[in-house]
Amino acid sequence: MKVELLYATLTLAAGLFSLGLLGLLLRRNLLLAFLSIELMLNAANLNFLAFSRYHNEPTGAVFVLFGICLAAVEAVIGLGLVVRVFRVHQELGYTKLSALRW
Amino acid sequence: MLLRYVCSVLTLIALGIFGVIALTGGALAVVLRDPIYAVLSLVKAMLGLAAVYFILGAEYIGAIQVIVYAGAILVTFLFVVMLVNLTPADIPPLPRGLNLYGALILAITWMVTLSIALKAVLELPDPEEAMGMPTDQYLFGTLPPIGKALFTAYALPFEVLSITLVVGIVGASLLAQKRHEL
Repeated sequence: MKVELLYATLTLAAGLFSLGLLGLLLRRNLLLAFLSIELMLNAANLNFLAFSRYHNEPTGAVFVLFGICLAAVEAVIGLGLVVRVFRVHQELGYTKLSALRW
Repeated sequence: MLLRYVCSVLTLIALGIFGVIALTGGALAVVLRDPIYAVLSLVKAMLGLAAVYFILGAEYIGAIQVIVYAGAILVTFLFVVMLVNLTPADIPPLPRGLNLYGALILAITWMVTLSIALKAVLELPDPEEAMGMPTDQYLFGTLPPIGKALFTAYALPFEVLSITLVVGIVGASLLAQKRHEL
């Protein structure tokens, strides 16, 4: 039955990743696109944990822990950038973002 | 044997229920117009995923998921939504026409490819039956094995991670301060 559990979990992770991809492509707003990236990160974490469970060893769980920490760092820096972009352009669309430095 | 079978079927059913909760949360986060509702439905997705982690037996990771993801990261998102005062009027509607179809086709192709590739997983041997591995089910999700791996085999990545956290804090405070001169 363990294989079925692995299969169900991986399918769930694939669905979440596809949703995140769709959101990243469809949303024309910096903050909401960033939200979709978080969804994709979580799908990757779920894969790690599914295989960790299947092989019954903690390595995958350790990597999920690292992934969550890195997601926190990424969220803080990304949101700092979002606030900065909003201060300069007064909006969060993609279209005005053409310069790395202004 | 029968009891074990019933247990595993119940596990799959529970996984399905919380998986559907996570998927609907993610779908709503993608389509909702109001940014606050979008963030809150992503919180729903994260809580559903935490329940999935619990079902998989990783209680510690599930708790971390609730505390760090639902509790800290998404609250920071909410904080930024309110800081820049995003209202539904600021959010452009979802694109129509070619852009929408292109994105949908890409996502569906991705999903189909993955589900075909995942069929290979079902061919994997059951580790218990194949090798007669003793399954330490009660130890799997608990802290001791994770802590042991974290401080022996993965001690260097762990330290690098702490440096990354410090760099992140300094970088974020540098980015968010008022601009003097650049």
